[in-house]
Amino acid sequence: MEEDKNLKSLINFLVVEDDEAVRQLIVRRLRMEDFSGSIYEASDGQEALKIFSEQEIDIIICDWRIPLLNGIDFVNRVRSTYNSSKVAIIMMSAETEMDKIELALNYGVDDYLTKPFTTQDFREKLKKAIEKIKGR
Amino acid sequence: MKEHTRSFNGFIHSLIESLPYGIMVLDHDDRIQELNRNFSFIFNINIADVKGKNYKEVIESKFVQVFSNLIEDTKVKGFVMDRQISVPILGGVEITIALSSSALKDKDNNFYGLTIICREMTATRELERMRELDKLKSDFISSVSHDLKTPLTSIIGYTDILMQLAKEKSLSEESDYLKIIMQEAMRFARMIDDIINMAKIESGKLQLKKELVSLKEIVEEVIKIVIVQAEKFKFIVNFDNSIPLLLIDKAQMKRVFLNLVSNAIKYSPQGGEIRIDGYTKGDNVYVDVIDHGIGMSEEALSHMFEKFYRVESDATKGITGTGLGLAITKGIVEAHGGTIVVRSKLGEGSTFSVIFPLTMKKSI
Repeated sequence: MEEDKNLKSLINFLVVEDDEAVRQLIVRRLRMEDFSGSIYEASDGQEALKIFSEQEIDIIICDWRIPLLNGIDFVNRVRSTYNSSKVAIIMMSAETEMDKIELALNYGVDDYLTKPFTTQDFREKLKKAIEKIKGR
Repeated sequence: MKEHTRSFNGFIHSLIESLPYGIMVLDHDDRIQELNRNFSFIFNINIADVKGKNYKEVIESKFVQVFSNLIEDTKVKGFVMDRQISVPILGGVEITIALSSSALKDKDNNFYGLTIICREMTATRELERMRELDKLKSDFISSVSHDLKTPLTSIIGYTDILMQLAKEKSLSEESDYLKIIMQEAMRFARMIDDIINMAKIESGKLQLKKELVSLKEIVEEVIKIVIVQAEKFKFIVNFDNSIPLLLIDKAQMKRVFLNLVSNAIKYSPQGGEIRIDGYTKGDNVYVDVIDHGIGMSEEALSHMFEKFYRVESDATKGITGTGLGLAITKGIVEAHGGTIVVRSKLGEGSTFSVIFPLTMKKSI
């Protein structure tokens, strides 16, 4: 991903995951990518909505199962806000069934990451998400 | 006029007796005017001599309060719908009854009595309970899957990062160990998937996403995957042109053939030829996976598709696996409406046949 280093600048992330270890893993991975924006964290859907309403978020990485407001409902709320089409959403889940994955995609999730995922999987999905927001 | 009233009363009585509900009619002093056979059965009341008596003298004391509240509320609201109570009947069985009541008013809107109807709700409640249990099962499976895979996500994730760092720092011994951790963690992930799939199949929660698929294509994709680890083998795919596209969940069916071909490889330690034949016979499509490996005994054959069954013998020492593969394979094939059979001879090899009815080419 060296070629788009200049385009990597100023991307704000929101990571929504209630498991502390996994959330830190994602935050660390994002920091390793060398973006110049901010990385916001939330451990439940309500906190995530609050942050989303207060900050300029470009990419959301969100788990399906989170407390207070579940992943799908959170995505639904995000998508029903004004201008949310500029935001790329990657959903993570242990789910492997196509039905559930399609459901998520129908609710406005842009891409899907199945747990457990490797660095390679993560970077591929991240790359696609960045391309999406570049194009918007 | 009397004749008319008599026949009308007769009609009402016959209606009250034949409706599949318990019916009791009270006057404004809580005295019983009508009480049908069903009501007497539910509340264990002797029908003779009830007319004119206050209901409190006739109904079992434990139900009096419920009826009293029901009557009071009916006087105020005009009607009450579906108040549920549990009633023990014969043999220690409890049934759920829904009580509904409506006030009787004359042309000046004065209250002069009420009708109480008892509806048997047990079947409905059982259905509700079954639905709740079913949802609990789904939630449980989904929850377990999530809970097991979450720590694994961290293990695999951080191991991955460590492997990167070890590579950058040229730490080759550390790299080797990390590679092993990664492989075993991935294997663990696959075991979790196996167990979750087995749970879904067993509780009937396996969802199939069907589309028209070529079985030959699936088999060829599977071979592409296994060929990397199978230098000692020669794969022959022999599919008849007569085989139509079938309505199949591609991902699940891939799992089936991956399992069968992997087993063929696993149980042929000397290598050799593995043949996959596809043909139609009668009303069915057959796909045979044939190996010339160690085969199995009669004893083993009878347990082949059982959960966790692993053949224990000198020949199979060192072969690893959860023992769920064939149970899952069978579950997926049967969920599609197909069957799977195996023929084998010890020392000569095995043939697994997946059989699908030709009707699977039609959309429902």
